[in-house]
Amino acid sequence: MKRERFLSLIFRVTTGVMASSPFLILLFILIVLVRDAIPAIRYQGSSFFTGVTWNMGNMYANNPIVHNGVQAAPGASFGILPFIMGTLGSSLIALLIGVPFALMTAFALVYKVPKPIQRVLSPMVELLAGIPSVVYGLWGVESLSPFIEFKLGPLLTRLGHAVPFLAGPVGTGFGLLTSGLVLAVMIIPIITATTRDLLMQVPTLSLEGAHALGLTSFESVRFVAYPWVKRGIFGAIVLGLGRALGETMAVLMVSGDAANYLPYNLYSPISTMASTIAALLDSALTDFTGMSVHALAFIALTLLVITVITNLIARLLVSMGRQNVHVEM
Amino acid sequence: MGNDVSLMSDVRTYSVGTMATAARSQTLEVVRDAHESIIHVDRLTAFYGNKRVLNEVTLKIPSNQITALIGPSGCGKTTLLRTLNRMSYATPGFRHEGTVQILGQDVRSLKDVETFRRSVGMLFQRPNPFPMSILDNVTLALKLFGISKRRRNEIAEEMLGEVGLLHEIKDRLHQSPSSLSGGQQQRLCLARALAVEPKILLLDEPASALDPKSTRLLESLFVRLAERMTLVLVTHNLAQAKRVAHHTAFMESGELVEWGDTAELFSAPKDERTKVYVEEHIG
Repeated sequence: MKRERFLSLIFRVTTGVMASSPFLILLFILIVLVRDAIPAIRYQGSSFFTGVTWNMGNMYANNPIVHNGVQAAPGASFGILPFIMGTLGSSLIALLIGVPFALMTAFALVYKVPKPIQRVLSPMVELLAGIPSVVYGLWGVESLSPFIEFKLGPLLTRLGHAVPFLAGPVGTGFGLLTSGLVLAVMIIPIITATTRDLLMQVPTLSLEGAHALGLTSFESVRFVAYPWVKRGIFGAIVLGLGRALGETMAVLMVSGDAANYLPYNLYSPISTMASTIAALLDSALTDFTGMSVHALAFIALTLLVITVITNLIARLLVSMGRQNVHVEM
Repeated sequence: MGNDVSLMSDVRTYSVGTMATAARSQTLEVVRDAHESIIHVDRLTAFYGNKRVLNEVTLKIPSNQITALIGPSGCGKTTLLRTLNRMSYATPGFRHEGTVQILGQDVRSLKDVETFRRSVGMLFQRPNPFPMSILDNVTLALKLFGISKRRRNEIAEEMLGEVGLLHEIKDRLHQSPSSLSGGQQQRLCLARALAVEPKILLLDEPASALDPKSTRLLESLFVRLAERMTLVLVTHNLAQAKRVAHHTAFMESGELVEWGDTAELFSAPKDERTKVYVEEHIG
């Protein structure tokens, strides 16, 4: 009796820990990052987010400067606005291009493609989602960036009169547009697969009702299938955005690795927060004051917070949409 | 014209003074002709892949009356119904031989299925309201056909009134249909189908998921609608066929075994198979 009670206690505790593990893991990461970032927060303050200059200082000097009670290499200045802009900009482009593509692919896959072909194509979407990002990065370097440098870029610059952001120079083909396109290709499989699974759950009876009423297949999808899945599609898009915001390797390979200036046009070299951490960690470790690593931890913390906030906003929008059950006509 | 000829043949039959059954079948011809047939199914044979589900079905369905299709599960009655508005075409592997003519058009060679389906409405086994407000459910198709908002709302009100929903849910028109009972939802779907003014209404076991009271209500609507449109009712419920249908067709294993006046089919079936089925199921 005693033994069983003990076992049930163990069971309760372990399941309790397991069940709360998502929260605990997030909390743990948050605590570690905050602890690591504190010196950088004290050194740089809020200009961390607004500053444009990223300079780890003279790491060969032996006379650290002291600011707000923390040491840093002489000349050190940590402003990550360009990285924030690079991250948001490339993710935005990825969404603008990837989302319509993914949604149309999913709709076509579910409603337009004959069943046998669907059975072949459908697993391929998952396959695409599983390709390592470095492979996408290599494709970006080898094929996409020359294409943008010599073909797409020069074409888009002609629109520069109307939209100044599209004006040249195109540069090397490594930059914002290339990063955005690589990210688009990477998030398309995720959004497509999720949307496809959602559409499969739309009741056939509802769609048949629409067809029987004389609605075209587009109208049926737009007015009957879409309202069923629109909340879920929103979730799928946020899932894709999460991947785009955090993608490191592929972006690092095609971003042009810029620092100290904001993107000035669509082709401008950029850096994202994630790629910056990966690219600079090696040299940051040689900083004798340790401040550069703290600054990278601060970037990681910022990225985490942005990702969490994005998710929260998405969820909020979804729950607001839920109260509004019917489509406005 | 057709009427006159039939009447004359009728008279002739009587004057010859043959058996009572022959006279009765002739009388039936008169009834049929009084309601010119609107759906002609001619030697319809249908397949799903290699499986034959309909075999040489020939049937004329008279206008402005209710025709019931009865028979055991898998007899092909639903396939027949779904072929009338080409819904079965969407099932993978479906193909058919023979012709189906509705409102003078061959359904196989229809150019514009959407326009055709406006004149052939359908009600399904379970209510299938769209994920939008009650009012929008009725007006959606009208909106897509380019009818003005004012007119749309008028029609919606009229149709909801027709199916007896308007006074029940007057203050809930902008809410989701999920707040309605099953019977109300099915009547909403009926109002939605009626809004585009179909000439034919196909009913695929429309009351199979409903309670007896809702079923009776729906049935009374069908009877009233038969004054201005043609209804084809697939049903498992023989009592329902008996209550509402003017004509009944009995199908078995993809074949049309017998069809005729409902009262006659149930009281004096000509075919042994019909007799067995009816006796088993009416009890």
